[in-house]
Amino acid sequence: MRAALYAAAAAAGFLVSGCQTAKVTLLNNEDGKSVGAVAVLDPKTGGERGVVSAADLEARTGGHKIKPRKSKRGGFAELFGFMPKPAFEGSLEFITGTTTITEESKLSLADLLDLWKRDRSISDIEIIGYADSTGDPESNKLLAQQRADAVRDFLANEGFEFTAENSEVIGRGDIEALKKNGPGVADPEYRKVTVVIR
Amino acid sequence: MRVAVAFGLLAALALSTPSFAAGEIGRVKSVTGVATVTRGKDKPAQLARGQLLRVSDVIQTGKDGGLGITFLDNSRFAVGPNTNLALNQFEFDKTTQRGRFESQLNKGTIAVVSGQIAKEKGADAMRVRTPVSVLAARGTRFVVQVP
Repeated sequence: MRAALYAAAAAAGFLVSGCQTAKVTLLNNEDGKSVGAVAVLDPKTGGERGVVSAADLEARTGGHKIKPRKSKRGGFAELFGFMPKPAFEGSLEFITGTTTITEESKLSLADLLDLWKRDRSISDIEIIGYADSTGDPESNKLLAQQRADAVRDFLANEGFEFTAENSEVIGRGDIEALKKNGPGVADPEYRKVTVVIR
Repeated sequence: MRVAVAFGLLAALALSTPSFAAGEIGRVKSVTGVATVTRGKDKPAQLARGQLLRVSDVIQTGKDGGLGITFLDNSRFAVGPNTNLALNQFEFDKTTQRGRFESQLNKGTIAVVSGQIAKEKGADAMRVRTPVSVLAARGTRFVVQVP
């Protein structure tokens, strides 16, 4: 109860703490070239006050309409010092009908291992198995799971501890392959396991 | 009634991600100085590297504090000093790669690199609420400041 009161008081404090403003600054994406956009909406009505859509523009967001202008401040270097690295997303290709990865993908698996070794205490890992649409869906589901398990077992043998908190290992079968190709199509694109480390 | 509850539970189980413990939405990747999380009625607790975050967590950094967070949809936050940030809502379906993410910057500074949730066209599904506005990320990197 007391905690709730404190929370309410804190919220009220924010509401009445004088002239409230909020500023948004849009930056280039991490590729240094492309840029997205930020829409500024009215918090009550959801109506759009405007869109900031060019890099290094800033806008105060409180008024009825926003007026983006060139940002005076630098690149927020100190703040971005806290920004985590992007998630690693990789894909390992398998030989048809097997849980054996291709020679090429063995290299990727080694890279993966290095990557996770560096940061394993704070990483989440997702291992998702797929199969192409040759064969029946039941056995493809099983194969996809076995492929995902094979990657997990490899990493586990290297000393990684998979817990419910840090990992997800699933087989998605041929659902995606069926969607794109229809039944009975051999397609290396779907004989794979995708791995995300974040 | 009991049947309805059971169905509700089943539905909730079906929707939740299979093995990440329920409710966990992101992970603290780095911490500097004082940075706390307030969870429900618990007292604020200092955050540590590797710690998992949940919906409704409220993060507060001190004058020398800061932290980095990675969320399940691969969006990332850098939280600056003297900042109060609430993680209001986070839902993410890994199969469809769609969801909803609302955080609330009450004070301070955050930098945002949007992830999968913000990629859904026309949905404005990733939002940062400020005391005077709601910002909808449309596949981008930006900084929000609330003095």
